[in-house]
Amino acid sequence: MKINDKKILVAFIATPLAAALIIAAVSAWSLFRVEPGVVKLLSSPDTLKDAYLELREPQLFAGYKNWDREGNGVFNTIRFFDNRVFYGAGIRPEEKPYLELLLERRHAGAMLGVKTALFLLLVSVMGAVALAVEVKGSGQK
Amino acid sequence: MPRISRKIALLLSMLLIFTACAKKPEKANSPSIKIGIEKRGTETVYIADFTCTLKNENDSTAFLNASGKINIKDNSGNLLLPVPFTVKTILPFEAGVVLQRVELKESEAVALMQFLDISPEKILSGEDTGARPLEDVNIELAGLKLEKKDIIDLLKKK
Repeated sequence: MKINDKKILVAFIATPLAAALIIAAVSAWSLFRVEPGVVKLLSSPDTLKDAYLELREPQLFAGYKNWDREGNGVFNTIRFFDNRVFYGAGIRPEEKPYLELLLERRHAGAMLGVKTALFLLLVSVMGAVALAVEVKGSGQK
Repeated sequence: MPRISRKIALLLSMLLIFTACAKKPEKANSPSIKIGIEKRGTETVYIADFTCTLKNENDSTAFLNASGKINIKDNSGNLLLPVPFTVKTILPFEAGVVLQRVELKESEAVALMQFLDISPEKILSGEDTGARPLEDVNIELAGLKLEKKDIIDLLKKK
Protein backbone atom coordinates (compact mmCIF):
# COMPACT_ATOMS: atom_id res chain seq x y z
CA MET A 1 0.00 0.00 0.00
CA LYS A 2 1.39 3.40 -0.94
CA ILE A 3 1.03 6.13 1.64
CA ASN A 4 -0.33 9.34 0.19
CA ASP A 5 2.35 11.83 1.26
CA LYS A 6 0.49 14.83 -0.14
CA LYS A 7 -2.53 14.28 2.11
CA ILE A 8 -0.29 13.95 5.15
CA LEU A 9 1.56 17.12 4.21
CA VAL A 10 -1.68 19.05 3.65
CA ALA A 11 -2.82 18.01 7.14
CA PHE A 12 0.63 18.96 8.45
CA ILE A 13 0.16 22.44 6.94
CA ALA A 14 -3.49 22.97 7.85
CA THR A 15 -3.48 21.88 11.51
CA PRO A 16 -0.78 24.22 12.86
CA LEU A 17 -2.01 26.97 10.55
CA ALA A 18 -5.52 26.77 12.02
CA ALA A 19 -4.13 26.72 15.56
CA ALA A 20 -1.84 29.68 14.73
CA LEU A 21 -4.78 31.70 13.39
CA ILE A 22 -6.91 31.06 16.49
CA ILE A 23 -4.06 31.86 18.89
CA ALA A 24 -3.07 34.96 16.90
CA ALA A 25 -6.67 36.21 16.94
CA VAL A 26 -6.94 35.75 20.73
CA SER A 27 -3.61 37.48 21.32
CA ALA A 28 -4.39 40.32 18.91
CA TRP A 29 -7.72 40.92 20.69
CA SER A 30 -5.84 41.30 23.97
CA LEU A 31 -3.04 43.45 22.52
CA PHE A 32 -5.09 45.80 20.40
CA ARG A 33 -8.47 45.86 22.11
CA VAL A 34 -8.32 44.92 25.80
CA GLU A 35 -4.94 46.37 26.79
CA PRO A 36 -5.47 49.90 25.31
CA GLY A 37 -8.90 49.91 27.02
CA VAL A 38 -7.34 49.02 30.36
CA VAL A 39 -4.60 51.65 29.94
CA LYS A 40 -7.34 54.24 29.39
CA LEU A 41 -9.24 53.07 32.48
CA LEU A 42 -6.04 53.17 34.54
CA SER A 43 -5.45 56.79 33.61
CA SER A 44 -8.32 58.00 35.77
CA PRO A 45 -8.63 57.37 39.53
CA ASP A 46 -12.41 57.02 39.07
CA THR A 47 -12.16 54.01 36.78
CA LEU A 48 -9.59 51.92 38.63
CA LYS A 49 -12.25 49.44 39.73
CA ASP A 50 -13.40 49.02 36.10
CA ALA A 51 -9.78 48.47 35.09
CA TYR A 52 -9.48 45.77 37.75
CA LEU A 53 -12.65 44.06 36.54
CA GLU A 54 -11.21 43.98 33.01
CA LEU A 55 -7.93 42.60 34.31
CA ARG A 56 -9.65 40.04 36.55
CA GLU A 57 -10.51 38.05 33.41
CA PRO A 58 -7.13 36.54 32.58
CA GLN A 59 -5.61 36.34 29.14
CA LEU A 60 -5.70 32.81 27.70
CA PHE A 61 -1.96 32.27 28.20
CA ALA A 62 -1.69 34.13 31.48
CA GLY A 63 -4.28 32.38 33.60
CA TYR A 64 -4.53 32.91 37.32
CA LYS A 65 -4.47 29.19 38.13
CA ASN A 66 -0.84 28.20 38.07
CA TRP A 67 1.77 30.10 39.98
CA ASP A 68 5.49 30.32 39.71
CA ARG A 69 7.72 32.48 41.90
CA GLU A 70 7.30 35.51 39.61
CA GLY A 71 3.53 35.12 39.72
CA ASN A 72 3.28 35.43 43.50
CA GLY A 73 2.90 39.20 43.29
CA VAL A 74 -0.03 38.79 40.92
CA PHE A 75 -1.56 36.13 43.17
CA ASN A 76 -1.43 38.39 46.23
CA THR A 77 -2.71 41.34 44.20
CA ILE A 78 -5.79 39.40 43.11
CA ARG A 79 -6.55 38.23 46.64
CA PHE A 80 -6.14 41.76 47.94
CA PHE A 81 -8.29 43.50 45.32
CA ASP A 82 -11.01 40.82 45.29
CA ASN A 83 -11.43 41.51 48.98
CA ARG A 84 -11.28 45.28 48.61
CA VAL A 85 -13.82 45.41 45.81
CA PHE A 86 -16.13 42.77 47.31
CA TYR A 87 -16.38 44.58 50.64
CA GLY A 88 -16.90 47.91 48.87
CA ALA A 89 -13.59 49.53 49.83
CA GLY A 90 -12.67 50.46 46.24
CA ILE A 91 -9.19 50.90 44.82
CA ARG A 92 -7.01 53.86 45.77
CA PRO A 93 -4.89 55.75 43.18
CA GLU A 94 -1.68 54.82 45.00
CA GLU A 95 -2.53 51.16 44.41
CA LYS A 96 -2.39 51.63 40.63
CA PRO A 97 1.09 49.98 40.30
CA TYR A 98 -0.48 46.71 41.45
CA LEU A 99 -3.03 46.94 38.66
CA GLU A 100 -0.19 47.62 36.23
CA LEU A 101 1.35 44.37 37.46
CA LEU A 102 -1.78 42.53 36.30
CA LEU A 103 -1.64 44.38 32.99
CA GLU A 104 1.98 43.30 32.56
CA ARG A 105 0.96 39.68 33.10
CA ARG A 106 -1.81 40.02 30.52
CA HIS A 107 0.65 41.58 28.07
CA ALA A 108 3.17 38.78 28.70
CA GLY A 109 0.42 36.22 28.03
CA ALA A 110 -0.54 37.92 24.77
CA MET A 111 3.09 38.07 23.66
CA LEU A 112 3.49 34.38 24.45
CA GLY A 113 0.45 33.78 22.24
CA VAL A 114 2.02 35.79 19.40
CA LYS A 115 5.28 33.82 19.67
CA THR A 116 3.38 30.51 19.76
CA ALA A 117 1.40 31.54 16.67
CA LEU A 118 4.64 32.44 14.86
CA PHE A 119 6.15 29.08 15.77
CA LEU A 120 3.09 27.23 14.49
CA LEU A 121 3.18 29.32 11.33
CA LEU A 122 6.80 28.31 10.84
CA VAL A 123 5.82 24.64 11.20
CA SER A 124 3.11 25.20 8.62
CA VAL A 125 5.56 26.89 6.22
CA MET A 126 7.90 23.93 6.62
CA GLY A 127 5.02 21.67 5.62
CA ALA A 128 4.30 23.88 2.62
CA VAL A 129 7.92 23.67 1.49
CA ALA A 130 7.85 19.88 1.88
CA LEU A 131 4.62 19.73 -0.15
CA ALA A 132 6.14 21.90 -2.89
CA VAL A 133 9.16 19.58 -3.06
CA GLU A 134 6.84 16.54 -3.16
CA VAL A 135 4.69 18.02 -5.94
CA LYS A 136 7.75 19.03 -7.93
CA GLY A 137 9.30 15.59 -7.46
CA SER A 138 6.16 13.72 -8.57
CA GLY A 139 5.83 16.05 -11.60
CA GLN A 140 9.33 15.18 -12.79
CA LYS A 141 8.69 11.41 -12.65
CA MET B 1 -28.61 18.75 12.26
CA PRO B 2 -25.65 18.43 9.85
CA ARG B 3 -22.82 16.26 11.11
CA ILE B 4 -20.29 19.11 11.42
CA SER B 5 -22.70 21.27 13.50
CA ARG B 6 -23.31 18.32 15.81
CA LYS B 7 -19.57 17.92 16.33
CA ILE B 8 -19.14 21.63 17.07
CA ALA B 9 -22.08 21.57 19.50
CA LEU B 10 -20.58 18.55 21.28
CA LEU B 11 -17.18 20.22 21.49
CA LEU B 12 -18.67 23.46 22.84
CA SER B 13 -20.81 21.66 25.43
CA MET B 14 -17.77 19.66 26.59
CA LEU B 15 -15.80 22.89 26.88
CA LEU B 16 -18.66 24.46 28.84
CA ILE B 17 -18.85 21.50 31.24
CA PHE B 18 -15.06 21.54 31.64
CA THR B 19 -14.89 25.26 32.40
CA ALA B 20 -18.00 25.24 34.61
CA CYS B 21 -16.43 22.77 37.03
CA ALA B 22 -15.25 24.51 40.16
CA LYS B 23 -13.38 22.61 42.82
CA LYS B 24 -15.29 22.36 46.10
CA PRO B 25 -13.44 22.26 49.44
CA GLU B 26 -12.76 18.61 50.22
CA LYS B 27 -11.69 18.91 53.83
CA ALA B 28 -11.60 21.20 56.81
CA ASN B 29 -8.14 22.68 57.36
CA SER B 30 -6.44 23.46 60.68
CA PRO B 31 -9.30 22.20 62.86
CA SER B 32 -9.22 22.93 66.55
CA ILE B 33 -11.64 22.90 69.43
CA LYS B 34 -11.84 24.62 72.78
CA ILE B 35 -13.98 23.18 75.52
CA GLY B 36 -15.31 25.61 78.08
CA ILE B 37 -17.38 25.09 81.20
CA GLU B 38 -19.80 27.72 82.45
CA LYS B 39 -21.77 27.75 85.64
CA ARG B 40 -25.27 29.12 85.11
CA GLY B 41 -26.84 29.10 88.55
CA THR B 42 -26.81 25.50 89.63
CA GLU B 43 -26.45 24.25 86.08
CA THR B 44 -23.13 23.37 84.45
CA VAL B 45 -23.00 24.19 80.75
CA TYR B 46 -20.37 22.71 78.47
CA ILE B 47 -19.45 24.79 75.43
CA ALA B 48 -17.33 23.82 72.44
CA ASP B 49 -15.80 26.52 70.24
CA PHE B 50 -14.82 24.86 67.01
CA THR B 51 -12.66 26.52 64.34
CA CYS B 52 -11.33 25.42 60.99
CA THR B 53 -10.93 26.87 57.51
CA LEU B 54 -12.37 25.88 54.16
CA LYS B 55 -10.13 26.63 51.20
CA ASN B 56 -11.41 27.98 47.91
CA GLU B 57 -8.74 26.88 45.44
CA ASN B 58 -10.53 28.26 42.39
CA ASP B 59 -9.21 31.28 40.57
CA SER B 60 -12.52 32.66 39.34
CA THR B 61 -15.30 31.11 41.42
CA ALA B 62 -16.48 32.50 44.72
CA PHE B 63 -18.47 30.40 47.18
CA LEU B 64 -21.49 31.95 48.83
CA ASN B 65 -23.61 30.69 51.73
CA ALA B 66 -21.54 27.60 52.35
CA SER B 67 -23.15 25.30 54.89
CA GLY B 68 -22.71 21.76 56.11
CA LYS B 69 -21.57 19.74 59.04
CA ILE B 70 -18.17 19.00 60.51
CA ASN B 71 -18.23 15.64 62.24
CA ILE B 72 -15.72 15.18 65.01
CA LYS B 73 -14.90 11.50 65.39
CA ASP B 74 -12.71 9.43 67.66
CA ASN B 75 -9.90 7.26 66.32
CA SER B 76 -12.32 4.35 65.79
CA GLY B 77 -14.59 6.53 63.66
CA ASN B 78 -17.37 6.92 66.25
CA LEU B 79 -19.16 10.25 66.02
CA LEU B 80 -18.46 12.44 69.03
CA LEU B 81 -19.92 15.74 67.93
CA PRO B 82 -21.57 17.07 64.78
CA VAL B 83 -20.91 20.79 64.27
CA PRO B 84 -23.27 22.47 61.82
CA PHE B 85 -21.74 25.56 60.24
CA THR B 86 -22.33 28.36 57.76
CA VAL B 87 -19.83 30.61 56.03
CA LYS B 88 -21.22 33.56 54.11
CA THR B 89 -18.48 34.13 51.53
CA ILE B 90 -15.26 32.46 50.45
CA LEU B 91 -13.54 34.43 47.70
CA PRO B 92 -11.12 32.77 45.23
CA PHE B 93 -7.80 31.71 46.78
CA GLU B 94 -9.18 32.56 50.21
CA ALA B 95 -9.82 30.37 53.21
CA GLY B 96 -13.24 30.85 54.79
CA VAL B 97 -13.11 30.67 58.56
CA VAL B 98 -15.59 28.42 60.31
CA LEU B 99 -16.11 29.64 63.85
CA GLN B 100 -18.90 27.77 65.54
CA ARG B 101 -20.01 27.65 69.16
CA VAL B 102 -21.95 24.59 70.26
CA GLU B 103 -23.56 23.94 73.62
CA LEU B 104 -22.91 20.34 74.49
CA LYS B 105 -25.09 17.79 76.18
CA GLU B 106 -23.36 16.29 79.19
CA SER B 107 -22.96 12.94 77.43
CA GLU B 108 -21.36 14.65 74.41
CA ALA B 109 -19.08 16.72 76.63
CA VAL B 110 -17.91 13.73 78.65
CA ALA B 111 -17.10 11.67 75.54
CA LEU B 112 -15.35 14.60 73.88
CA MET B 113 -13.29 15.54 76.93
CA GLN B 114 -12.31 11.91 77.44
CA PHE B 115 -11.15 11.68 73.83
CA LEU B 116 -9.26 14.98 74.02
CA ASP B 117 -7.79 14.10 77.40
CA ILE B 118 -9.29 17.15 79.07
CA SER B 119 -10.15 17.19 82.72
CA PRO B 120 -13.16 19.37 83.71
CA GLU B 121 -11.49 20.15 87.03
CA LYS B 122 -8.42 21.55 85.28
CA ILE B 123 -10.59 23.76 83.05
CA LEU B 124 -12.51 25.06 86.06
CA SER B 125 -9.29 25.74 87.97
CA GLY B 126 -7.77 27.48 84.95
CA GLU B 127 -4.95 24.96 84.76
CA ASP B 128 -5.99 23.90 81.25
CA THR B 129 -7.45 26.22 78.61
CA GLY B 130 -9.37 23.30 77.08
CA ALA B 131 -8.05 24.09 73.61
CA ARG B 132 -6.83 21.24 71.41
CA PRO B 133 -5.84 20.94 67.77
CA LEU B 134 -7.62 18.10 65.98
CA GLU B 135 -6.06 15.59 63.62
CA ASP B 136 -7.39 15.29 60.07
CA VAL B 137 -8.47 11.70 60.77
CA ASN B 138 -10.81 12.94 63.50
CA ILE B 139 -12.58 15.40 61.22
CA GLU B 140 -15.08 14.80 58.46
CA LEU B 141 -16.65 17.44 56.27
CA ALA B 142 -20.17 16.31 55.46
CA GLY B 143 -23.14 17.59 53.47
CA LEU B 144 -21.35 20.65 52.12
CA LYS B 145 -23.70 22.91 50.18
CA LEU B 146 -22.66 26.15 48.57
CA GLU B 147 -23.53 28.56 45.81
CA LYS B 148 -20.89 29.03 43.14
CA LYS B 149 -20.64 32.45 41.62
CA ASP B 150 -18.29 33.84 39.00
CA ILE B 151 -16.06 36.37 40.76
CA ILE B 152 -16.31 38.97 37.98
CA ASP B 153 -20.15 38.90 38.07
CA LEU B 154 -20.00 39.18 41.84
CA LEU B 155 -17.56 42.10 41.86
CA LYS B 156 -19.48 43.95 39.15
CA LYS B 157 -22.47 44.19 41.49
CA LYS B 158 -20.40 45.80 44.23
